[in-house]
Formats: sequence, structure tokens, C-alpha cells
Amino acid sequence: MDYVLPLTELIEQFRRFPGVGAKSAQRMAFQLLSWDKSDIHKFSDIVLRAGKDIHYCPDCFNFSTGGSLCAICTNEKRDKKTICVVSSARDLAALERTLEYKGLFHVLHGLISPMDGIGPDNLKISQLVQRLAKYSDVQEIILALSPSTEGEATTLYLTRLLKPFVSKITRLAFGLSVGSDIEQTDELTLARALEGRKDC
Amino acid sequence: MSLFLQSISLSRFRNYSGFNQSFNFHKQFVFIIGPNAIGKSNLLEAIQYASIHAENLVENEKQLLSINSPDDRFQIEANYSLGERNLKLEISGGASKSLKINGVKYRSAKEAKGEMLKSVIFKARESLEIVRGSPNKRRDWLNGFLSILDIHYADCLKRFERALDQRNYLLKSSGYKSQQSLIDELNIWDMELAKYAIPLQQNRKRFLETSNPSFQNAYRKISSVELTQGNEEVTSGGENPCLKYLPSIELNSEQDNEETCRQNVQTLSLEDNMRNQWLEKFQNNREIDLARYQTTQGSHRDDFAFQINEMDARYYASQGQQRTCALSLKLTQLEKWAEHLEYSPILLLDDVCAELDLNRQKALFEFLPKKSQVFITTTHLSSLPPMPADKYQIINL
Ligand SMILES: [Zn+2]
Repeated sequence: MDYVLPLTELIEQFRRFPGVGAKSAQRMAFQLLSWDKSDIHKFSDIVLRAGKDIHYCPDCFNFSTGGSLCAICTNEKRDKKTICVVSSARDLAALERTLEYKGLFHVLHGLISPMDGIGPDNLKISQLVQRLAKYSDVQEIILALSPSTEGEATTLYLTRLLKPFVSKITRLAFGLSVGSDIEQTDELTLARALEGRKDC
Repeated sequence: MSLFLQSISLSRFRNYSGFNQSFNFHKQFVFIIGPNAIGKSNLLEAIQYASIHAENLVENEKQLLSINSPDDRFQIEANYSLGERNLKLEISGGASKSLKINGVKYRSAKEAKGEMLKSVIFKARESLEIVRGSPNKRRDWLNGFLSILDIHYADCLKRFERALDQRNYLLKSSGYKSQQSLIDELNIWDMELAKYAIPLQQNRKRFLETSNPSFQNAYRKISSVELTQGNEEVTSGGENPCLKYLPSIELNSEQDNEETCRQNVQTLSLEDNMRNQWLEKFQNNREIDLARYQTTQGSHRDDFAFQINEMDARYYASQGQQRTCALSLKLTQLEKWAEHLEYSPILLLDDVCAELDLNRQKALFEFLPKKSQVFITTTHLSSLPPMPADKYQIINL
């Protein structure tokens, strides 16, 4: 390395982020060093606080602060009878942005994938079962997992596992993306949308 | 309607490096004649390069990606017609990699799939490998072609292979798991595999069954000459060639299934019934899978046989019979694809004559599809092609 040690270390840290290669990491490090000292302090404080204060919500495993339930779980207006299962907090945020869904969530933090060494035990699945046992008035589980092989397998696993606990288990429909032209939709999505067509 | 390649110009493509060369084609049958290593196969390869060929969608994709390599700075321009429509295809490699059809730019072969030239290629040695080689050669051919015909098949195959990988990883890590969680997880992957295996199996079966009339017809036409010639092998006119599906997991016939469905009080659907059957047989194999740390049965182990009088041509047929099988398979493929496309793709025959004597060449040429444009490379022509003079042209390299 041609750089002074602290800079080399900084570049190394940036390289740990997904999709960041050697060049981008260098660019980020140089950018950071060009900031005012006060901005650098602020940045490092924010990183520290994020590491210290953010933890998983003990019920739904969404991110939360202050050592307690998250904002969704404590929201009186949310429908406690419905739980939507997602694989990541990012998917949760995407569903929240729709402003359509009023129920609760459960974040698995991954999908079953033996290739990546992830089995059901590595996901927040047993916690979901415990949650259902604890709050027996849950009436519907929505499985909002991606249609990938791993998503399908996880959906199947959960369907079988959760049947004794809840009367209604649903999954998201596959369809056209709104605002896209039919002619520009790929054949497979179109075929799936055709399969999942509904009565008018 | 058929696809007709009118001209192709190459610059810096393989042998044609450094200079431009253009070829005009104006006949249905084009004979490309020249000694070995003069680049007649390269011309054929360029035609193949400029086309979506029947063998494999993934290959087609890769071909266009491989233009990325800086050594492959070449340009191909192909002009062809389909019915009333004229299409100009421009491919350039290297840094300015691009694919244009009638001036419209496409990002990939897949995207341009609908517009591109379609071809079926017969390369004597490679095609013979489908008949004589290990099961994976036949499986790859079948998967490649069915994936092109049916996007659902391609999707099922991709998903099956992914689920299979996952299951194999699970088997390899089985030692670290409790018995119960291992069984729970295996059950999931078994069901995922079944979901894709059933349509794969049904598609393969249907395809091979419906291919048989065309395969038998081609085989008999080409080999009838061997009978009259009879100087190399003796073949009987009573030969009964057949493509036979050999699934790794055998299911009851559909009629049997329908019967079971009718008898079943719970009235299982046909799909459910097949899935249950598949799962039962699949799970019977679990002990072996666990012992070997891999999935030992399933769609990834399917095969099909070229049978002649119910004997497997891979083991029991003469060279001549095997060659005839390979050629008949390609002609069947052409016919099947034409059915699907509703027009005839181009047929590329690389060095087919080298392996056939004059009479068999004659039989082959007479049998060649009446609609497709056909390109034939050969080192020499023993006599004039057995077709009207206005039907063919000869290009000497
Ligand atoms: Zn929560």
C-alpha cells in the first residue's frame, strides 16, 4: 500500500460494503478526508450511535431503538390480527411505503438457502411460532417472500409449519408492474400474470 | 414461409481477418466447397453466429457476450428475408460491441430473439456424440431445444437446477443437523423439486413422442439407400427406429393416473397424483442420497435412447445407423422448430458429405426439407447435386 496506515485501513473498511470495489472504496475514503473535521466527527458519531442504539424489535425483528418494541408493533392503530412475513427490513420498508398495509410484520432476516449455510434455525422462524403462540388472536399470515427458488422453499416451509397456528395463510400474487406497458413486460412475468388472472 | 439468407459480409471474423469478404446467396441450396482449413466452416460459423440456433439459448446468449473479448473485433452483416419482410442484421464485436436489426439496437440475443435469423446446425462429429455419448449429451440437447421452444420449460429447468443445488448442499451438511430438522428441510426441497420435475418430465415425454413420426420418416428415407447399396452394412427394410424417453423416475402412464384419480375418493387432480407418485419414489431414494451426499435420482438424470428395433443404438447399432440417427434427429429438430415458428428455419450441414457415399448423399439431398434454405459444406462434390440446376448454387472457396 502506498497510503499512510489510517487511510489504508479506512479504504479496507469501505471495501466491506456490498458492491464496493477497490476503486470505489478509495474514492469514498478520499471524499471523507476532504470533509471538514466537524463533519467527520458528526459522521463517526452517527455510525457509533447506529451501532449502539439500533437493535431488533423483540416481537417482529424489525429495527427498533431504545431497547423496546418497534414503532409498528407499538402503534395502537395497526391491525394486530394480521402478520406479514418478509425476508428483510428493506422489504418491510417497501411494503410500508405502499401505505396500504395496516397489519404487523415479521422479519425473517434471510431465506432458507443451504448453499449459504442458512437453514430454518438461522432465521427468525421459531420466534414467529412463539409469537403466534403468545398472541393467539392472529387470524392471517401473509407470506410476502420473493418468487425465487429460496423464497418459494421458505414459503412452503412456513406454510406447513404455521398451519396449526393460524386459520388463513396467504401469499402475494405475481403480476404486472403497474405503470409498465404489457408489450414491455417480459414473457415470464406476463405468463405468470395470465396464470394468476382474476374474475372481473 | 421460410427464412432466406441473401447475403453475409464478414470482416475480421476468424480466417477472414483483416479483410472484408461478402457472399451472396440466391438459391435454396448453397454448396460451400473447399479443402479443409480454408474457412468453409468459419463461413458456416458466421451464419450460425448471426442466428439464434436451435441448440441452446444459453449458448446464443454467450455468443453475443463473447464479443466482449478484444480479440474478437469483427463485424458481420447479414441480410435476410422472411416472407415480405427484409431484415438487416449487424453485429460488431470488440469495444463497440453491438447488435442491430434494421437499425434498431438490441442489448442481447435474448431480447432480439423474435427477430433474429433461426438456424439448425448439423456438425457431423458433434451430432454423432448425441447418439453415442453419455446421457448428459442427450439431456443438454433436449434441455437446450425445449428451452428455446418454451419459456416455461426454461424457467422450470432453471428452478429445478437451483433447487437441486440447494438440496445437494443440504445433503452435504446433513451431519451438522438434527435428524428432525434434516427431514423437515429435505421434505421442502423434495416438494420444490417435484413442482418443477413434473412439468419437465411431461414436456420431455410429449416432445419425444410427438417427434417420433418425423424421426422415423427421416431415418427410413435416408437409410433406404443403404439397403439398395448394401456394400457396407446390411440394413433391413423392417427397421423400426424410435426415440424413447428414459426418465430417471418412472411414473405410471397418464391413463393409469386418470384411473387412480377416478377411484380416489378424495378426487385428487392429475397433477397432485403425479406429484405424489414422484415424491414417493423420490423419497424411497433418500437413504442412498444421504449416504452419497447427493441427489441420485431425478430429472437431472433423465435420458433418452435412439432405439432401432427396441435395441439401444448407443450400444448395438453400426456407425452408419448411428450417423443416420444423428442426422434424422437434426431433421426432426428442424421440422419441430418450423412447426413452432410457423416458418422454416435455415439448415446448416457441416461436412455431412464426408461421411456419406454418393448414393446416401443423393438420398439425403432428395430428402432435405422442401422449404428450408440449406447450406452444405464439403471438401468436394463427387457429382452434380441431384436437384434441378435452378435450385442450387456452388461457392468455391
Ligand atoms: Zn416490532
